[in-house]
Amino acid sequence: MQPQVLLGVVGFCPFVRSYPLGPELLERVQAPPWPADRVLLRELNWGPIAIVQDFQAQPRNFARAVLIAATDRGHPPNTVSCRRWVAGALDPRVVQQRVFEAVTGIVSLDNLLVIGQHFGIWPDDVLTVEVQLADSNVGAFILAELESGCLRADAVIGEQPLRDEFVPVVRRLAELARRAVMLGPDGMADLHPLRAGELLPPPEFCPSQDWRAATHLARQ
Amino acid sequence: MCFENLPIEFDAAGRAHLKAGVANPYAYTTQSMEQRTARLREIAAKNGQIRDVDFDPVTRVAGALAFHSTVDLESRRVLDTNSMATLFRGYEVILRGRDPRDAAFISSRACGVCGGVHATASALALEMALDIKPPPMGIILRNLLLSCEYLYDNPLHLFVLAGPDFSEALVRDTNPEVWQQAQTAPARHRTLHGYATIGEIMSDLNPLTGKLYLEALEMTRVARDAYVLLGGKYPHPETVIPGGVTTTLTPTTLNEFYLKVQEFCDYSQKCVGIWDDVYDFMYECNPQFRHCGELPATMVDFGQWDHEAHYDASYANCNSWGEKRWSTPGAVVNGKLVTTRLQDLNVGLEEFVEHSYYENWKDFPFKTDPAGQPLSPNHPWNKSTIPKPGAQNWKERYSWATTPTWDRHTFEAGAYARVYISALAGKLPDSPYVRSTGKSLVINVPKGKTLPARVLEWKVPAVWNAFERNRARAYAVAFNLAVTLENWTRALDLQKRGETRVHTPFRIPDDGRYIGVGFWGAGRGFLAHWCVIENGLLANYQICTPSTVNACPKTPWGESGAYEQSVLNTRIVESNFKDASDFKGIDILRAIRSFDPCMPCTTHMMVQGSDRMITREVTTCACGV
Repeated sequence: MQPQVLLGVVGFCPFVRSYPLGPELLERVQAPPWPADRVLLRELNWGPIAIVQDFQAQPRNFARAVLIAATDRGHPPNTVSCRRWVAGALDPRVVQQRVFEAVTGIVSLDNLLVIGQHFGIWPDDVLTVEVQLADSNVGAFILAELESGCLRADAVIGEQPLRDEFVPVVRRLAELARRAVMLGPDGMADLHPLRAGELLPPPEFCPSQDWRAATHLARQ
Repeated sequence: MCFENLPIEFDAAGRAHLKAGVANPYAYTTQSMEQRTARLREIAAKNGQIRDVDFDPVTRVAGALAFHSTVDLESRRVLDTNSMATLFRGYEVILRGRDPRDAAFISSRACGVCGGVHATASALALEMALDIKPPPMGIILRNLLLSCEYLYDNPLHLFVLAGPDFSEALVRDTNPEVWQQAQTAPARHRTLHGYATIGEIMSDLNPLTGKLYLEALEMTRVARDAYVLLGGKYPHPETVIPGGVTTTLTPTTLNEFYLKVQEFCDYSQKCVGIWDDVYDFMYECNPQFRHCGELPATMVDFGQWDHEAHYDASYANCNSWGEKRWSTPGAVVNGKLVTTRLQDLNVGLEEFVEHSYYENWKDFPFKTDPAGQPLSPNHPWNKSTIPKPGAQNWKERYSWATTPTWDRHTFEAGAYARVYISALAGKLPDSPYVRSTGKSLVINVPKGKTLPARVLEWKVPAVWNAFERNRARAYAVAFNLAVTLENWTRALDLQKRGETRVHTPFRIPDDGRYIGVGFWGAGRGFLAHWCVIENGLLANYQICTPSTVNACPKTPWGESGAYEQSVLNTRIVESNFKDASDFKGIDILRAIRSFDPCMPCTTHMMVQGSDRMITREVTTCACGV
């Protein structure tokens, strides 16, 4: 029996654990274990094009996808929210901008949503469980460590406890994810739509042009 | 005698030494930028058609490369350029003080596209430092992995990153007269790609919907699948280590690998046919296109794909095993091949930071290389990475990229450099798939699923510009395929002989000082890692990437890097604009994109105190914040 729900963690990276949110989150959303015939848990920490191609290689008819990620929606730090992806009209030029980013290795929920939509991999129901994290600075951590003269491998890569301020954040993410998986949009309170226009815009890299018209022509 | 600018000469045995009587052999003058600014002000005062054009980002990657140009729309010339890497990559800092065995895994994160090449360059550096020679099968498997990265990377650039610049969508908007002609212009290589006209090709180059665009995406998947068969995962494989690889190899693995690679027999021919047709047509349309990204051909490449019978990891023998690589190392200056010896390439390299956000370093620990040949204080083995973030200032510091030079020349790096240098050198080992004539590269592409076997020949072009970079990159796909098939055959032979060992064990000595360099290449060309190991830890680690080479700021003496100079030489052929308000700058973008910029190679993180944040990368990752 094929799993009915995809639960994806976008941007999980187990390498630098200065803020060990990813590993902790993964542990929490897996406990207690999901029924394997109902839920497929995937780390979607790959470029969106690779994920699209993975879906295309093994087509599955999920009823629902739930994607967990850190995002920038302008909320106060540590805000956890759930949104329903409704996409709306996709501007081909913006899709292409996101493809440009995607093929160069950027892991991004926003790019994944848009590119997945364009290539038709998503089920009808796509819910996102998002956390707004405070701006932080990887370089500061590394350099501070360097300056203090304690550059040791286990200081950066080794296990570190979850910081206190993240405990309720992780708990809330896991709760919302479980609810989204089990109940779907009908079971979520205050579920707001997430449209393409609300996503963090991709960087502008092309001269202005009417790609929409051109791609329309190409389809003909 | 390959050095014109550095005071280095050679003895009868070919060993480099400093010329006698030169008091300060590595001195250089630092040119003030005031004169340049004054000149621009003067031109601006006389001419109202000057416009500053900012392209930020150019690379589509997290805003990491910004490019500033000053363009005179009336004369259709570019007056001034500045290329800026806007983010800090701190791998040299991160690696300092670590266990050397961490280097391959950490440095491979330097790029989200081509992590395997960094892992391999790191492994090679450690092999040289610690005298580790991988077994033949380990060397060949690394070659096959490298090929897959190239087979992934080059089509991606040709059709997904640069291809849209030549698509109907863009050409009809920026140069309607070109589109008009394209619709009826016959495509000469129809037998290779099936298109009757250039217009049909351009339509299928359209982003998102064009067949060529979508096909390239699919081919990247094929190459990645092939990589994963041998490398376990991609990007950031963990199977490439000093001493070889950790792959478990079976006959089935090699057969499955071949089935994937075989798909490039047709596709490599198609790449050549498409881009030969498009660029020949563009030249015929408007000869001014020949100036797009034009530069004297000055490039450096370390070669790659080691020959298992010759590679011994040593610096002492690197001139010899380097010249036996399946892509020949070398330096080309103004179109002339001046050396193919890896030691010459290493000795001539320097890295300057006068216009970068780094402090100059004071130490000069290595006066000579392990062969006793002179090294500059600015050589990577002597370099320390000392970040010094600050405000952007065109006169002083404006980029996180450094300025690498070879024999005091800025140079360019790219997939095309391995084609160009291998063609000129005439030193490729014997192979039924590829040979060098000294002025061209002849590639025998086997029969594919639909196309018959064919001989392709890339010839050194009369001009060197953006279109020729891309054209050579198209031929590089076939070159990669040829090397892949050669090495696959060798892997089968080794397997038949039972030589299936893929790794040589090693240990890190607890004390002593050891140095090494990994001469390798990325999809975008030139890549090297230099390491210094002291008392069992990395005392220094330096990475020089192709995008650093190409995107570098000016030298202390005022010479522009490849991006900057190529844009300065570009003519504005764009026709469909009234004034500055609707000028799109496509010619400038084509020039820069022909280098296949990949700024994650150059930049990745940032430093507190800078006015720039990597907000996107940080906030989209649920743990790397």
